[in-house]
Amino acid sequence: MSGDLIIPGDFLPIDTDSSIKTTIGPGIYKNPQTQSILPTNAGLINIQKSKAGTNQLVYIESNSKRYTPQTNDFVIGIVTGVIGESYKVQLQDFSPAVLLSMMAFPNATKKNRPNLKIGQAVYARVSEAIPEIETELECIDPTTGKEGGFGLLDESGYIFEVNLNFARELLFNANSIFLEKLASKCKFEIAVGINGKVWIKCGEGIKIEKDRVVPEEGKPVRDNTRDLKSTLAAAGFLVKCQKLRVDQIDAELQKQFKNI
Amino acid sequence: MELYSPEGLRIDGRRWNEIRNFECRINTHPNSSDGSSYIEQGNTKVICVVQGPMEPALRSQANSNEATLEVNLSVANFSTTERKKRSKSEKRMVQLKTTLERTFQQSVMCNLYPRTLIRIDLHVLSQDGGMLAACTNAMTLALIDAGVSMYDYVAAMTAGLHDQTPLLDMNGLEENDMSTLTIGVIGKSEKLSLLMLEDKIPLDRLESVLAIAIAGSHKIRDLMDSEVRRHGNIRSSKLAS
Amino acid sequence: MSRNTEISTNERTYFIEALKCGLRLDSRRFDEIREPQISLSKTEFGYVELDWGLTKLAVRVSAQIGKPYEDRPFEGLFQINCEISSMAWAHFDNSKNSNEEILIARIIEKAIRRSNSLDLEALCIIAGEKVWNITVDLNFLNFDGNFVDVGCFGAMLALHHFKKPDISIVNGGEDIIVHDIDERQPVPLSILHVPICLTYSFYNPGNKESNLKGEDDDEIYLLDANLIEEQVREGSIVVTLNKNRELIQLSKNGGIPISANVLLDLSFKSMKIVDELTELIKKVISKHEKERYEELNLKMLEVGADR
Repeated sequence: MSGDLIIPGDFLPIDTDSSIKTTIGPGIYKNPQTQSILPTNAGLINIQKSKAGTNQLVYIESNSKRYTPQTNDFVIGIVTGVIGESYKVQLQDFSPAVLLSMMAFPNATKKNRPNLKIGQAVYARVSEAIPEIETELECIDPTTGKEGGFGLLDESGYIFEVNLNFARELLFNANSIFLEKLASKCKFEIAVGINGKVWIKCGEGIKIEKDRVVPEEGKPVRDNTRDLKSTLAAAGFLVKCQKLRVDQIDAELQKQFKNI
Repeated sequence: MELYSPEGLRIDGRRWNEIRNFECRINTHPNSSDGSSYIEQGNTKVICVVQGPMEPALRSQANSNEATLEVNLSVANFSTTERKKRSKSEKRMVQLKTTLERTFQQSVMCNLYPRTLIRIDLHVLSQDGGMLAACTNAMTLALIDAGVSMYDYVAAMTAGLHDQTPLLDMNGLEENDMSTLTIGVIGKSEKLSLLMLEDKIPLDRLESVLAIAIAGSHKIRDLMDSEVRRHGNIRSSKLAS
Repeated sequence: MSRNTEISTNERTYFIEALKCGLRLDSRRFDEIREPQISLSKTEFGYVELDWGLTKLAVRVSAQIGKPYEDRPFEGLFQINCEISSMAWAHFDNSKNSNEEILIARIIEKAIRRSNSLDLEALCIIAGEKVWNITVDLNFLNFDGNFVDVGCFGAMLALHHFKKPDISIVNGGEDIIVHDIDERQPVPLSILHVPICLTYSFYNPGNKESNLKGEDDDEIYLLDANLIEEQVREGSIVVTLNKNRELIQLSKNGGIPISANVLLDLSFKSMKIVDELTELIKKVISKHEKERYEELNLKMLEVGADR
């Protein structure tokens, strides 16, 4: 039942008893006229029944690469420009741009504007995602009014892309084995955007040197490449993990961190 | 008709390392453009006219970090010995145009003029070999005349290989028969900004052809420089009085 | 829909810093190409599918009989057609107007057609009237950088693989009979030399001015750039060589200036890879020939004394 493959056109294997309250999730459509519920995505069906048997939750887990903004999603976007009083942010290649108002930051006023440059990455929350108009983002925690982890992502971390399914797994699954295994190899900081972008930094990441540092006589050259290599290895590991079976993960981890 | 006689003379009487007659003028169209130049390299004659930096006609051309260069190259129908209609969207024209745009994108300080367009119109009036080189030289002079900030001159020259001998500054007949290398050199350095070789040469001969071409480019740069200074001196003398 | 891709500053910085440490993001050496995966069609001559990393290409060579140009009555006709659509990468427009696509098509054409790698006179059937018209169609299926090298390699491979039908001329030059491949063994094309294109991308880790003034000479060169390397690059040069140490064409369309010494150096270093790739073509084709020979039992068709 749960975990079976379901395709649009199939019947949903749920209890249609009217006494049971059904909650529907992604991939399911409720026809407003006939009140019937239908699957609209192909994927694995997930049915959860409450203990008393009075509530059931049904949704379809499908995989895709193209992200459609939904309200309250946490995303990583890249600033591509400024339009009026908002930043134009791109969530994915070839996707329409979304807007991040300059006021949607903690302690922002007309005089005190955030200083984001083109190409920088931000961690934000989708505040308005009405399909007919431009989506809007916010970099402020709605409950506390403070930063809450949103805002500019440091330029010393690396950004890469994964499938939406994997991003959801990393973000929502508390028992995810991938991050646990990675933690055994290096200390890292990670930010996962549900639009498929992941920001990761092992150790200090990159030290951005404005001028080339000439090594001094007698002193050993500082090895800041170790963090860079770890970060790239961690990113490579997570990207490869999307296609591996559980038993192959350890081998992949060893392979990526071989030279470090 | 032999291209290179045993005495070392070419068809037009030059030796292997002599360039053709080089004439250049800047500020030839003071009323119709921001910068202009006219170049004659032997029988190859090119006019270049620069407008800008100006407001771009299309919103898409406005790059928020740097200026956009737009090159329009038009080769006159009467430029060759036989009248021939040329279309602007012919692949070869598009390639030359893109090459010129990209070459100058590097040597013009584009980051000083964000959100603007610099439009360059090249008219080739007469072709007798070395068209791309003449166009590059004309563009350099016109951009200097327009006052657009640049790092250094881009001087271009052609060189070819006849049997084992490298020849400098190819004319039309030589270009048709031999492989020609066109290079664009930055100022007095040995850094190549533009490079185009369209026919075969043996790899081991590349060095000699490249060496003579670079020497030729330095010579062209000096000639262009003396013309620019001459023009500048005339104008400044008018100011003093 | 936005036709843009944005590379974040983070990716760009990591990329350049990794280059400074001698690392490439996909762990190749700076002068290492990706391994090409070739599949030659067993049923049709002249159809090749080539995988070069994630860049995928399908090439088909076809031949027709047509009239030659009036000023060249002894030469056959030869065209190379590059189809780059947004199937390969959403950034490419479906119309042919993009400068990038025209550059790619032009370089491949210069390397193969202009250098006379295919013997056009061998394509002549009846001078001035009937000649073979060979068309190479390159369909780029997926873009992961470097269409030029892959396109040139694929086209040469397909030309080696292709065989045109055998013909006989009867009635004193009046009629031509085109024999079916089942009737008579088809004839391979006459290829004079094999041009191989190599694209070097360069990156300037220092600042622009010192590079232009010629003081610093520490630009970094990568061979065979993949998608992200191509998007971040600051200049590129295409060097086309063949096994006979002939430089077929050199193309540097703008980008940061490189010094003449470096250019010569790169050209000499490229010879080794050109040799390897030419060997690869020959090896793959001869292996394919041998397999076909065994499968179709062509030994029986051979006319020769067994002594």
